[in-house]
Amino acid sequence: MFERILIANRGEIALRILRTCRRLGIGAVVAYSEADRDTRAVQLADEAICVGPAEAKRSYLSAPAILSAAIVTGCDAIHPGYGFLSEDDTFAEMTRAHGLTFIGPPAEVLERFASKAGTRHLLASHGLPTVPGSAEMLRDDADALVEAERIGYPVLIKPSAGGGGRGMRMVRSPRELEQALTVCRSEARAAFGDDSLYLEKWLEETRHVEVQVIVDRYGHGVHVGERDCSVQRRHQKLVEESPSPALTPEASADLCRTAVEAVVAAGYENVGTLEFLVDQSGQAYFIEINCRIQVEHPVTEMRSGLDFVAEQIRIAAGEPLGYSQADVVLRGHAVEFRLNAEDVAHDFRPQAGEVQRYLAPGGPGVRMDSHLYPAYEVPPFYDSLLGKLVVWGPDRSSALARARGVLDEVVLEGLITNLDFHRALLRNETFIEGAFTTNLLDRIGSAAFVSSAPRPQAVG
Amino acid sequence: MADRPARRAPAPAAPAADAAAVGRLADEVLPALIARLEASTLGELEIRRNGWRVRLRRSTVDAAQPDGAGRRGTGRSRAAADQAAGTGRGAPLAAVGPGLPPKVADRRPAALSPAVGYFSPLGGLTAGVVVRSGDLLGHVDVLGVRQEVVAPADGVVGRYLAEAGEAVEYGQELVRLEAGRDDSVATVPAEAG
Repeated sequence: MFERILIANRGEIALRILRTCRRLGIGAVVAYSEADRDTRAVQLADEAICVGPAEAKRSYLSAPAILSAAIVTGCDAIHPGYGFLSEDDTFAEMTRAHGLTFIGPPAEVLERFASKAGTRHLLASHGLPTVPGSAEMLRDDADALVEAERIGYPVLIKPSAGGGGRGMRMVRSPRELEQALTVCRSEARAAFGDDSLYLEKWLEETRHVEVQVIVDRYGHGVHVGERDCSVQRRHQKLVEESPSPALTPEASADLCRTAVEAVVAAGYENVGTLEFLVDQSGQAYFIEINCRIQVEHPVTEMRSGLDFVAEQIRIAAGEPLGYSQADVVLRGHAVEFRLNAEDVAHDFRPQAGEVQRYLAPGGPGVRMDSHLYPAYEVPPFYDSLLGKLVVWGPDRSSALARARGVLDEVVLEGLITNLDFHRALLRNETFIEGAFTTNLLDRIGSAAFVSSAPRPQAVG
Repeated sequence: MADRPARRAPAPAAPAADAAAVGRLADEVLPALIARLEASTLGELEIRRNGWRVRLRRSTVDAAQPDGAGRRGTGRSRAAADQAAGTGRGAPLAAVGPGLPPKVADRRPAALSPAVGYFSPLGGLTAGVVVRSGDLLGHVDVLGVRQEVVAPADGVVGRYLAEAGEAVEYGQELVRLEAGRDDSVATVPAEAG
């Protein structure tokens, strides 16, 4: 097992990883940028080391800076969290070349699953259904037009690298396609340093369902159920829950079993997530794999009692999984609400500034993963995630009832947040019924929706 | 997230009408604040007025302090970090003790580390050598690649704040520069390795 881990990330996930290191008795060193000197993880770490300026490219995304930090602080492993270097096979290889362990899939596994198109081919060959799409990366605009015609509009333009909705556009005509290609290329190049794009058939009225898997290096794998992440805005997830209200227990079991069998057969290793689109008929299409811990992993932790960061560490250290599918017991229903510093009324514009008051909710079945504290200054350089409120209940309706109560407990002042959005969502009939798809937010019109939210009674 | 506008702090616009206020702030408020910070044992002072915010932070390295005291090799040790947490945020107080007001010398420039790695000062560069802004003072070794440590201003090499071979973090102060004199007697030697 490792003695000292460098946490190469920030915000709530740096704190999340640090907590598991503490529990396992592993030393935790936090690598931070100049803009993150005052973060909670830096304060709590055994040691913290500044790796570069605020600009992520020169700090959290700089492989030499992160590796050098790990070496000079005497770490034997690096946990990359999510985003940044978490799925970078070159970084994973460099880490190994310097005698350290990358906590995640090994470099060759990351490389095998690096291209989304390649992964679709690979997993389709192991039995996963995929969305009709372009066979290869688009060579040029002319190629894109031909492929789109063959697939049939509307189509979704997607970058080969990365995630989070960057470089993605849905287009309904050749004209829209031509215009969007330039934008998507430049977005993809800016975000991932790779502007290769591919096309996928745009499926109307789908749900986003993902399957959590854990696979050790000896070919033993389990799934830990699915999560439904259909409450999205422009491919940004806002609420995630497990199980999916759209799947019967039988459909869920089928999907999860097929998913874990495919990734084990394809040689995946460590914790990962397979994302699917599920159409109105219940047909699931595999779209991509995330070779890292995900933002929404606590939803599944609440149901399973597993600690996914600990599982990542154990598997990266070469330990066998040590349990089988029958040992994975999923209980009740869990829902996560992402608290973001963003102005829902103004196109979800990201916000930065000082947290003046902050009071976290609590009680049975409530988990708040957040790096906030009063007087903390949210820097403008990174994502707007302030924390994740996760609630558990024996079933969906009791989980939602609990969520209503605890969302009203949250006090977060000084910044504009999306708290009212979540409060309104919990009173929305379509959401309560569970019969929504990924275009829920487009339909209800977010700004008007939020202004209808009941204000919580003043507390404290 | 690229479909969002670039992330920037919602900086308050500084209309021309505020220019006078800024001037007043610089002329009247700042000197008073600096004096108050110096007279106190505080590490940091912040005031807000009419939507403006001014924060002063005390320099954390005192010339009178032995090299490396108060910090452990690289980064911030647990103790220093706890201390920062205890004060909410800001500079640890350890660098400047009670009854030891910061000296003007504290504001002398220092050459900073350009990266995380191991520091190696330029051979033959000793205290008293006159340097010009941009002159090479040493290197930080990052995975075998040397990154230059350069003088941020004209001056005379003062004390070294990190030793040869010491692990340093990005932005760490490495070499203190004293005020320069025109009748220089020494110059930067050619790199001796």
